Amino acid sequence: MKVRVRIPSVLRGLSEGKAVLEIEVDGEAPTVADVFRSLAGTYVGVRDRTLDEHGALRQHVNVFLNSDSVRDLSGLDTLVHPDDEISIIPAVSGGTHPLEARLTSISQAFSGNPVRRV
Amino acid sequence: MSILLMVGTMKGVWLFQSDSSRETFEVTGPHLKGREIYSIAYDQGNGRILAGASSFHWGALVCRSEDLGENWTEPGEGNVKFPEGADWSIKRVWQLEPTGDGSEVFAGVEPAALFRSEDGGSTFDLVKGLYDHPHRTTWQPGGGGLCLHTIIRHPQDQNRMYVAISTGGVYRTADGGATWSPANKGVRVEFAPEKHPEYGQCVHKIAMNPSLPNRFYLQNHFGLYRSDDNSDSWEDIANGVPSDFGFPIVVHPHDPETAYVIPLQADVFRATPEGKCRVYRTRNAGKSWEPLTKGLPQEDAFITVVRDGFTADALDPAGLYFGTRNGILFASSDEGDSWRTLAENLPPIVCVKTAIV
Repeated sequence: MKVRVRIPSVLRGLSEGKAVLEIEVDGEAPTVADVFRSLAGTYVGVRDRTLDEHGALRQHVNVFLNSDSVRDLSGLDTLVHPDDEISIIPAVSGGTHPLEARLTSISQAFSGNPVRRV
Repeated sequence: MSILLMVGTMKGVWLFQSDSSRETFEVTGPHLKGREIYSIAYDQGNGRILAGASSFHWGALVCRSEDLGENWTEPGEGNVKFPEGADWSIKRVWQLEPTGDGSEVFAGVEPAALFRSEDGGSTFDLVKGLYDHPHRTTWQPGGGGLCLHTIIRHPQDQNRMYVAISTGGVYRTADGGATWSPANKGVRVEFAPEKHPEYGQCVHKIAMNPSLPNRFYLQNHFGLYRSDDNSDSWEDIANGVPSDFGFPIVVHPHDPETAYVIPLQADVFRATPEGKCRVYRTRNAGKSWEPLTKGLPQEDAFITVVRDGFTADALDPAGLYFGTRNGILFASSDEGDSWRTLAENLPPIVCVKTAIV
């Protein structure tokens, strides 16, 4: 089945610029963790910014299944269903303005950074 | 020949470049905008700048620039990761130490561990010998976290290396990292009943001049020390400083008798004593220290300089540079005799490093 994953603007440099990914996930009872495993096949950077190296959700990142934070459900073990939508959203703490986020998108070349003299 | 001054802040990198006169610097930044830059280094072997960048949200990485900061590359996949089965996950990269051959780079991280890259800093692997040390699970975090913040390689013997951990102390290896032993004899602990334990010291920084590799200087969480026996033992050298608390310690690039510290009042008041911003210099390996104040604020200056916020360049006379928690960057081109302000409204400065390019 396919699940939609919404990508925050600051991570779109890791998702080929896509705001929404259609992720194919297999199995009889797939979970949010399974979605991230499938997603990592093509978009490993998105996975690594959202989960740490042991697969735990980063402290200051929220993942929503439809309108509910997975922290309020069964975490990454929460089951997903056809047509569900997952959203990756940075926690409000230390947030980044959307425009600022675009300016600092991943791997952006900061060419043209003006030179000053002191 | 020019001098590259790399400044890591809590909100990105600033780069300052000058010819050997160091009279005028060209400045660019912010690079890696918004990232906390706890470590930065220039690899003489390939001309690459490496930066340990961490994000409040998205974790820690080593980013790189191949063209002195014009363009930066952030890896897609995380490139400093604890392996599967480890009980820690990476939080920050506190130190980057290229060997200078363009391939091998060491990284000290939080939680306290050592990583090695063999591809110029593109990917890193855990140094298992230190991770498996039985002391590891008893190390405690200092105020900045449980971090491996200093890496010193022996200049002649590539199998010998020294690291410093807050709070674990100094550890050294003589077999390329396979085994490690603590080296803290004489360094005191103020925050535990046992004042001179084998390990557990909150060492803030150690420094060595490669021309005299058996000598080390050490700034402790209270305590200023020198070792002349390859860190077998440490002697108190806080002779005439207003406080023996502080974070950085810098050894002169050409004279191992000369070293510099920036004393702070105490751990409960991490600011320059008496509201005076003073660098202290010894020219006799710590037998005495003199304050250096010309060009530095001497009134209402309650300044904090963190462990990697102070460095020297390799020119002659040596240049010195330090950045403060309140975003001021000071520079001296005469070995500390006089100072000037290079920048004064940067974000909090976490690390300052130099290279000749």
